[in-house]
Amino acid sequence: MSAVASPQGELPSPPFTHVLSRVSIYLGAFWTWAGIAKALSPEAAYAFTAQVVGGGMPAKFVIVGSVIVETALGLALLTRALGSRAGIMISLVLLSLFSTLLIAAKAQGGGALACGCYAFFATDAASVDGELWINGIHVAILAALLAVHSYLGRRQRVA
Amino acid sequence: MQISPRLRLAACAAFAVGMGVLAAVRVAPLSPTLEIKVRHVRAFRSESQSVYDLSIIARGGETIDEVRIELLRGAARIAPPGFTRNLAPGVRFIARVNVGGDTAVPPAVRITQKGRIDRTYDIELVEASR
Repeated sequence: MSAVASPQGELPSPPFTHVLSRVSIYLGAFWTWAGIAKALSPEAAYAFTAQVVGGGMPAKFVIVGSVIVETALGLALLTRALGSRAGIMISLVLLSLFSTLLIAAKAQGGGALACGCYAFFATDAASVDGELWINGIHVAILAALLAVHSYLGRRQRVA
Repeated sequence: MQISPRLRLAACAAFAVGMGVLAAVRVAPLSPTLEIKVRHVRAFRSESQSVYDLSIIARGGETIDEVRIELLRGAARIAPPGFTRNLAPGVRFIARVNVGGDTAVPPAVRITQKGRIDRTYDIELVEASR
């Protein structure tokens, strides 16, 4: 197994595997930061979630659930316990899910709210509108990577 | 030493659950509250009266059904209406209180929050130090 190859079903095309590997490390840091930061400083995220799903237990469950999922996914990508392709696919699903919550908040007139997605430095800075842009760019890049991965895989099978 | 991906995954999951417990502990006490600031309106100050503005902001992401202000002590009068309904999170409600002259004991008001969580706040009309 090469240094950049992932444990599960990666594409045997070294340059592209290298790109996927780097992207999965970036996503690992991204999700780990989001999870740990929210665990340490959940106030802004709670205020945002309470507006979308209702205050009290529903919002608290969403916060705790998202901390567990984000931290587990982030660390699994950083330690390469999860393959790059699987990690990118799960990230794509999670980003789409969180974007749905953000769109729901925006539809309720909360576009200028602080979403608290990354706590600390972004409590006031990252509004719902800003976060939707960040998610949209990530989703576009990840979807493009998966499309290229799928195309190269198909071409290799044909060859 | 090579650690199997399954073992690494289990370790990551265990750490993540630990973070979840930490998040649960930190999020448990969060509930709707009022952020209250008292401001002495010096422009309206005279020997016979002082004017204070109470700035009230709902925090905690929930709309507060009703906020009501009542006089607790002192020669003061709360400018009508003295209450508001459906105070959305982040929205500021300002109430004005007229106090008759200087008094030995600072006048105070009681602010009552009604909604999913009811609370009362006893506030002395003394400007917070800046």
